[in-house]
Amino acid sequence: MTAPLPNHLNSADALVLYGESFPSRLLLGTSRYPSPQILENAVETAHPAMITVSLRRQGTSTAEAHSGFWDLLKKMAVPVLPNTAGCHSPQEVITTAQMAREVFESDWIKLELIGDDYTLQPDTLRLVQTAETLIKEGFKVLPYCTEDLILCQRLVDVGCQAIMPWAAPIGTGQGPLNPYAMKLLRDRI
Amino acid sequence: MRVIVNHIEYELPSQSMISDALTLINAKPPFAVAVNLNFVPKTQYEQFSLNENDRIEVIAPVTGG
Repeated sequence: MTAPLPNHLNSADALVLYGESFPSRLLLGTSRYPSPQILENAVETAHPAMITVSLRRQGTSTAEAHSGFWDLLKKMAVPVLPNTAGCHSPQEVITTAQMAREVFESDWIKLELIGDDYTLQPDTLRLVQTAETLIKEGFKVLPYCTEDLILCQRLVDVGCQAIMPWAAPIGTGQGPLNPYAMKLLRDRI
Repeated sequence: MRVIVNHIEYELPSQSMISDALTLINAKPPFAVAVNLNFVPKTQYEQFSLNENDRIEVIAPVTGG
């Protein structure tokens, strides 16, 4: 039985990024679900535009624990948004993006360039240059960034068609800490 | 020669290719490869010669946020 389409799917108000149209505006993460079945159920119910995925070294416990994930991705048939989680330098980001493009056969990349290991705050000083390099290499870049207006403006200037400003540090569950800045981004960009 | 695959040291004959390293660790698709932080397309696994102390990364899809 197929779940009914949720109300947020509205083809008249599609999300259009890099020339591609998505009926949903929801991007859904795939980590930390209690089981693969619950992840599959969530994706089937939510109908997200894309689901985020990552890459880890083969042979590690993390990669082994996800050995069935590839089959699940194929089964769900939802566009994937690979990330560059864990990368601390532009070179690491670019290499990981190239690897992700080959594995997932997708030009989409969620650019994550970590500047601080504790908060996972993005390295804002090197983010723009890295985004520009990726865009020149043909990637469709969605950069994870802070809510700084000038940073976000520069990311748009180099060709990012969307930005992903943090609401709060990853994993803290604090909700939007700076609503004023988020509203300002909507007003100015 | 000594190479490092996913942070583990291995011994390979000199002039080994990436494909030899992949066989050594029994890499299972899907995966992608980088050598010394440079991406190597899968079309080059049979021709790309490894050197002493090369660092090879073999990565696979996992869940993510």
